[in-house]
Amino acid sequence: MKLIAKNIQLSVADQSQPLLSSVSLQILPGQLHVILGPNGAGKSTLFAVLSGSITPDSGLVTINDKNIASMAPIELSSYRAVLPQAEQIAFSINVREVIELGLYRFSTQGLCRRSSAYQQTNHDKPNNFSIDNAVQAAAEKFMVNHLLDRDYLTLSGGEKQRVHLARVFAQNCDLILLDEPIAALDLAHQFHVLEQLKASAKEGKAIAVVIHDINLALRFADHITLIKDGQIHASDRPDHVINSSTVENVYRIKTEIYRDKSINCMQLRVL
Amino acid sequence: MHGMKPTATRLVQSLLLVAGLFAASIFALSQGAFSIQWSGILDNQTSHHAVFWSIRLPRALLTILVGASLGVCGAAMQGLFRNPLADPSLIGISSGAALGASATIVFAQHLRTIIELPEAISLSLTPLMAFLVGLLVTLVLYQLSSQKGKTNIAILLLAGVAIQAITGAGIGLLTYLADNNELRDLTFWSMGSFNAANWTAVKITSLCVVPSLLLLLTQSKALNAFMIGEQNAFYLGIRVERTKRIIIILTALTIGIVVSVSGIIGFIGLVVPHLIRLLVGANHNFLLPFSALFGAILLLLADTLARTVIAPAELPIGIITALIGGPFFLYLLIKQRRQLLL
Repeated sequence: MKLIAKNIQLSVADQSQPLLSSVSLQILPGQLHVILGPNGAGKSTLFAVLSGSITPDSGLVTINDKNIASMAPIELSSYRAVLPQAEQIAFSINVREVIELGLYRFSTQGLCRRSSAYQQTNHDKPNNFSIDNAVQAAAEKFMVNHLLDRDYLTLSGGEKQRVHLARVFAQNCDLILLDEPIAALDLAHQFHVLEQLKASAKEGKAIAVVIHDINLALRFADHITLIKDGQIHASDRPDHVINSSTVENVYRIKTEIYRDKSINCMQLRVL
Repeated sequence: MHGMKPTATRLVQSLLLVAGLFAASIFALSQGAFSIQWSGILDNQTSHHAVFWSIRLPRALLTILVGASLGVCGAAMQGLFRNPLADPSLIGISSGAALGASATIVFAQHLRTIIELPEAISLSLTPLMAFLVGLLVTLVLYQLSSQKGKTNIAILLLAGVAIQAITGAGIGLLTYLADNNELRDLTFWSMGSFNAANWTAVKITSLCVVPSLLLLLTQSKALNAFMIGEQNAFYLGIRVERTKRIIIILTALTIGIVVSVSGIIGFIGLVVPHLIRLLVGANHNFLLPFSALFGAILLLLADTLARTVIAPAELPIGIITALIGGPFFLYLLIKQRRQLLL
């Protein structure tokens, strides 16, 4: 499953500077694609465009060469899963039920079993599919299986975030877009989540993720896209994108790059 | 019920609610100014037969239909607006429907003196107008209170106050124009009553309301997805705008019909889903059907109270539900106080 964005333009009426201009990028299977950029650079807007919830003024987003603007939501949901930045839930609901929401595309509600939309979205439904197993597997991946019967509203911020990650993975898509999935997590869980994402990428999924920690990006990413003022500053292998001059250009802070031998990886130090 | 599987627990709960509805129906049918002998209801020579078959039974059935509708519509609106305070009677949908209905009553009388309306049209005109005005109110409320897929609950409630003021003025004006007969009808609309229940009302209501409620039940998975926001619902595969339109139209339709047969009955749509959520959580797969059953039970009991407390006269049922629901609403406001601060 590959996602290609070509020449995306997006602006809002009352602002002279466009939100996104001439943005082109590819999110490829087998890669953990990290998107970096300062606050307000347009990362979340870009994600909304890539996932089809905002239509750009011009430009094209395709998944496997098919224009996403021509797809129904249920078809899109069989290709890509999205985690936007944290959402509030106003009602008390079990963690199990939150994760189950990710399985909506496998349900028949509102769809006739014989309809082409149903066939389309269930092409990858496993033969032995069971809701309980799917929820359990997703929960184990992000270590929330002990919370399944808890009320979502009683969870901590980090636990809520992991529950939503499990919900997104339960959707079982080959393309996954995650906007700051580790923002509320402690150090150990940050590493655990990134390792899971890396493993999923290795299995062939295409994964794009916004994070802010450049050192974690250098350690885990297969590909880094650096965004500034709604434009792509660089998009390439990590060691080609991150160096002290690009970081200074984008973040306006002096840094140096060094090789950390203990982890055998380039790292960044603020001067 | 600890240690039971969730599905088994839900099954037990739904059986309890069905049994409760059955018990409440028997209770409602047996109570009243006239004391019924059950042995007499099959003998069509007795007044027991007449009271049971032409007064109590249609009234109980109508009460069940209306109670179920108010419970389900309350739960659906709260799911759509993502807030437990969004009750159709509280945010002005019911009073909009009542304005539509009462305007039709007053003007249809005048219209009838000019042209002869076929009975089918004049019978369906009141519910139709109630539906249309209720729909208009719902759409306006949604436009006003919803920004970027989130609901501003303060704006929703304040807009509800404004709409109630406007519809109140409208109904007041109609009261001024109305003659004595119409006046009694209008009072009935603003406080609610099942006094006029008969088999025609039961038939019309069930014909419109039952399909509409069944369709609302099919939206339960979508309503669950709405709990994590409209954007997420779209990512999960839901046609968000279409689903919103379906829920709004079905709710306005149901409330319109219900108001045109029973008047405004407040707070059932607020209290019932709230209590059911405490019992089973917010999963709409259970919340909607359980709210239907519990709404019917609660309204049967309220109507029995309305008929018996000052028998042989009777209270408007809206007074009873407001006396129970008003304090409950204040309690919810206190609980939600922090979120409501502007």
